[in-house]
Amino acid sequence: MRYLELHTISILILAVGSGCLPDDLRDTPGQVVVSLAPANLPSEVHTADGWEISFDRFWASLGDVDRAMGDCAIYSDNHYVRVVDILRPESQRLATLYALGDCRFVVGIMAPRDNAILGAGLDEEAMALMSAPGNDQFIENIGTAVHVAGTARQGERAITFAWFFRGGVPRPMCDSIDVRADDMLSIELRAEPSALFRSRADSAETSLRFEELAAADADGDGEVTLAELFVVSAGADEPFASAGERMYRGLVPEVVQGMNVELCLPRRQP
Amino acid sequence: MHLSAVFRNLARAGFAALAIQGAIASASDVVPPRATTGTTSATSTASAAVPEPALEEDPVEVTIRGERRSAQALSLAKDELRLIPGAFADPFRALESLPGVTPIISGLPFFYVRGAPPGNAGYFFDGVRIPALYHVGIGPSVVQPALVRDVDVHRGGYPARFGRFAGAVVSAGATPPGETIHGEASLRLYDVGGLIETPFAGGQGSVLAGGRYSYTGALLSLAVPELTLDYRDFQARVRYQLTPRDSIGVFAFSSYDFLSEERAGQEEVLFASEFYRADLRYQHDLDDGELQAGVTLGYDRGGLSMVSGEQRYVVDLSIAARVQLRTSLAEGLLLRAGGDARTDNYRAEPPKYGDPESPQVARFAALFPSRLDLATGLWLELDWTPAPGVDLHPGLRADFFRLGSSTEFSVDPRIAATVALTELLRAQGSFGLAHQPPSFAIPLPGLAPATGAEGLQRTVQGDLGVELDLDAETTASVVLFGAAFFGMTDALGTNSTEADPNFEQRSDGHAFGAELYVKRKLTSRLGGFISYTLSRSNRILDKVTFPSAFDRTHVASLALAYDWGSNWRSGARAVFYSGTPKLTAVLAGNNYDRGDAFFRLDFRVEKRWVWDDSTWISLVFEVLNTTLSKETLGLEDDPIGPIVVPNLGMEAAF
Repeated sequence: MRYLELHTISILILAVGSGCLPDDLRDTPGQVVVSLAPANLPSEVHTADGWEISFDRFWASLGDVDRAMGDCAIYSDNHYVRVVDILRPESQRLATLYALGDCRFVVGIMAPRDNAILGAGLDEEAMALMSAPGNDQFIENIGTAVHVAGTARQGERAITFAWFFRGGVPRPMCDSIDVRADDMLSIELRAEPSALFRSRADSAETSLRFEELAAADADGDGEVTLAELFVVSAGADEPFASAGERMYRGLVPEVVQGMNVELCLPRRQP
Repeated sequence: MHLSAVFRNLARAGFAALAIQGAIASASDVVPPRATTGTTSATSTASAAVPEPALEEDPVEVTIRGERRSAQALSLAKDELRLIPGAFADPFRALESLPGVTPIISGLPFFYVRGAPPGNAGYFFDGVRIPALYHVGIGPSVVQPALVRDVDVHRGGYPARFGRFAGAVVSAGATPPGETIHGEASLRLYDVGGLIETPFAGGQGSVLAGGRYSYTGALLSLAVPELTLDYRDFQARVRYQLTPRDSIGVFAFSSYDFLSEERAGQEEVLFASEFYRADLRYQHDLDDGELQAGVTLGYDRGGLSMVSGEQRYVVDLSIAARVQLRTSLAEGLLLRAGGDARTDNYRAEPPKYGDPESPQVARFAALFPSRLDLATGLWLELDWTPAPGVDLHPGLRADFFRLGSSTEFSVDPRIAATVALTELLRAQGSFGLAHQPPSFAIPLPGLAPATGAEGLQRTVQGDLGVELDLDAETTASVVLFGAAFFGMTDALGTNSTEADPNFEQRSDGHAFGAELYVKRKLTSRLGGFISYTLSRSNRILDKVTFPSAFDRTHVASLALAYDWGSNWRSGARAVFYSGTPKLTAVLAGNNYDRGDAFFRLDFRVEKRWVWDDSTWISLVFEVLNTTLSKETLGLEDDPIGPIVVPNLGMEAAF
């Protein structure tokens, strides 16, 4: 310690001539913890057309939390994603932000990069599967943003599925939040796995259906692939060319909800 | 001619680091003998028969000790350096014009030297290692130009006294103390600087103070109000002759750089660095040599904002000690030997507002942790002239490193040789091995990665060439060089513009090429130089060989300066280099395209008003990149720039 003191004194004498660098010049920020709320799912999803859907896996790569707009200063670097099992029964932290101002945040649903980390209950095998580059109808040579596998049953019929959605999307989390100095805020996102089976992408009030997807099993092998869904037409009044595109572009982003829902309201801790 | 004038003239002529030891018994006003303090080049001793003075006193015997340059070093003298167009009278900014030096981006003072990355270049000023040469961005060097006597650029196979760098070594010598009060000052668009030195105690001592302050911030705030830019430096030196043979000195200098931007109402630091040095030195003159010892305290503080975006600093508190002996063993055989040790106590400020789970935060915490590093070494050099016209400079150094919790040891043999083929033609070559602890991509104060557990960086360097004296003021040289790199921390050279730099990654590589350098002293009525480098620099990762991201096949500079008379002088410099390879993140060997070539023209005009040999004022107008040229890097489509630096300034000396 004496070494440091002597050193500092010597150098301070020098520093008089040229000054010292300032420490952090920014005002004190507030802290915002972003989490994924515990999954609140029945053991099976029941659709309006009589299918019961169970999930073997429902993994998503979430993160890259950033500001969307507004007069918001972000102090922390949160450019990483976490591969999470969105069916977990406990809350999972996605990021801790330090920010100040009028902030509206976005969370990315995107393929893992080199610096991705694992969420609770997942292992390196899961990371390897999600990170493995591949192609789909929209994007090439990239990992997986959302992976879902399961079985849909209707009476004696059983259709399996294992889909890899590779294209990412930034997802707005909440309306604008006023983050003030020393705030301790928390924001919870809600996972909505059943959103994948909505009959329409433009309304959360629409019913859940699977029959259309089951019918896409053109080769009759009992498994519906993403490629098969892309040859099934979407509804005439929908802005998608196929059921696959509706699911990929319209419904996958709805799996993680946050905007204008109760869970998204920030809770300011005393 | 007064001995001090001889000294000055020889220094101006490029024979810097020359000391004159006069044993003029009857001349009481002569400064006591003072040998050179330079650390830049090999030395030989010669006795010169001086014409007998027409005085009715005892005959005078004068021993002149001059420094002989290392065979492979390129040396630039102060008076020439300040005349290079586009260099803004800045000795270190002239480096980019030298053969073997490949710029990263036009105007920015970071270079690859014979394939070695910027982080592998060592910078020394007056024997003291400094962490960076330049102020932020396109700023000037961190040392007052008036204090720089000369600059030696060792591009490979350098003398054994320089250790722990696996690339190039840039070593600048300080102007020796003057015998009368003198000073220099400059007032430029961007900054103001000055230096003054005066003797005291009847010439036994001298004290110097200098500094530079940039008011760029005020100017910049008019054009870009959200930006704040500030840089400054400071130098102070005291030397005192204790006895005719013993002298002590304290040399302190510092540098400060700060760049910030206001974002969303908050001032974010984009770049911040500062360093301070206090060097205490002692010198004892021997009958046929000298003994030097010194202790340097250092304080370096570098902001991580430019690297990781974090608004925090890493501090390096260093103590370095050195001792060096130079003595003549026999006629034509000079010995240099020495040792040095250095501790670096790194203290990393914890991230204040970092996401504790962010891999980025964890990565940089691991890359720049608090730790204590130690390096110590012994070295030996010989300047041997076994036959007339043959000079050999063998050397050997051994270093021990304690890097965090790992230990490394290195032995570096080196040799340089010059053989006079004819009176005007010389063959010269050098070969050497060099080791270096892990280095950051570019030299920044305090930022040294803690990846020593993966070993030292290692390079083998060699060159062979010929040098021809075309006339008394013009020389031409052609040199072939080669280098092999092992375990390099070259995050820039191995990086595609598609991806973030991988600072932890190690790579191997090699570089080879040819250099042409024709130089006529810039202080001549018509002076200038042609510098051309044809080279290839490759990196090897996972057994895939690919060009370095900043490999430029052709790099050329042509400079001309003309003295129009009446103290009007003007000059221009043309710079050309070919494009960098377009490397994708997926390495594909030699399957790549190259970006566009770059060309720029610099211009300088000066009018000087002279009162006497040492008193003058000059007005200088200078522009770097008059052609408003832009350049592209790697896969990026958007050109950078144009980086144009105009300057109108006034310089004065007395």
